[in-house]
Amino acid sequence: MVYAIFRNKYSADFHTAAHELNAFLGALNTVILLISSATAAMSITAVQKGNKKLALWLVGITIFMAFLFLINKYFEWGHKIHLGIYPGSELLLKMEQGELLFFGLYYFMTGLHVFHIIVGMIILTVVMVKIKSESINAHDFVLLENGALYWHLVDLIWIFLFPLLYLIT
Amino acid sequence: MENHEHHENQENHITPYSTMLKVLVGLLFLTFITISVTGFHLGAFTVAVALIIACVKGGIVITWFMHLKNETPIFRYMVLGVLLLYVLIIVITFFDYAFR
Repeated sequence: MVYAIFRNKYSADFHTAAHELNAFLGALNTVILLISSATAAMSITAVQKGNKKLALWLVGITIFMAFLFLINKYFEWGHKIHLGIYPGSELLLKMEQGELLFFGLYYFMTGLHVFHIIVGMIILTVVMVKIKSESINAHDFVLLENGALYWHLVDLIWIFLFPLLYLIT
Repeated sequence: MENHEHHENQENHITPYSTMLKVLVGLLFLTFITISVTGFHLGAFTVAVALIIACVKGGIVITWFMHLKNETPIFRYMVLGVLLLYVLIIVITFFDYAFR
């Protein structure tokens, strides 16, 4: 909502600022999240079919992908901060109003998303432990289903964040 | 993951691995399209096209990954209703801002 209004008001500044973002890293993270979402969905199939080993592998891959996403984000943010673009930095305060707003929204929206990723990783780790101890099995897999649902939500949010922040140049 | 095919039995509510893989390929393809389209400089349409593709991708995720396909119609209408409400809130607030 806030994004929509400021984008409307300062569209030129938003364009300049979005050029600063690395669309390649963003695209890579999109691919990573889509794959992790697919493995999360397939892990439900595996548990339903009683294939415990495969289910563990699939949830494990999902968590690993989430980890890759975070590493990617670390380098992306690290580069921005290296360039002097971080909340409250001098360079940022000298920029146009719209660019300032864009980076503010960028850090807020991606930051909140990263927080969800970390929460998702914790949930999926719990799920993995429970699959291992067989308290999640072919007859009772509600926790896995909800964990996967949460993970798809995180993916869903990124599907919208990616074009809004990275591709609007 | 080599032994996918051996477990391919079509029971109710179990989505086969192959479906998930096809969905994944579709999503990756749409991502590729979004990135290419935004390179064309269509002006204001770029954002619209990117958002429409994002909506399609979101729909695919909800339908297959989130298993909405296997739910009863009432759930489908509820999800649709909530999403419409969300869009409506954004649009109305935007109008309020635009014509102030």
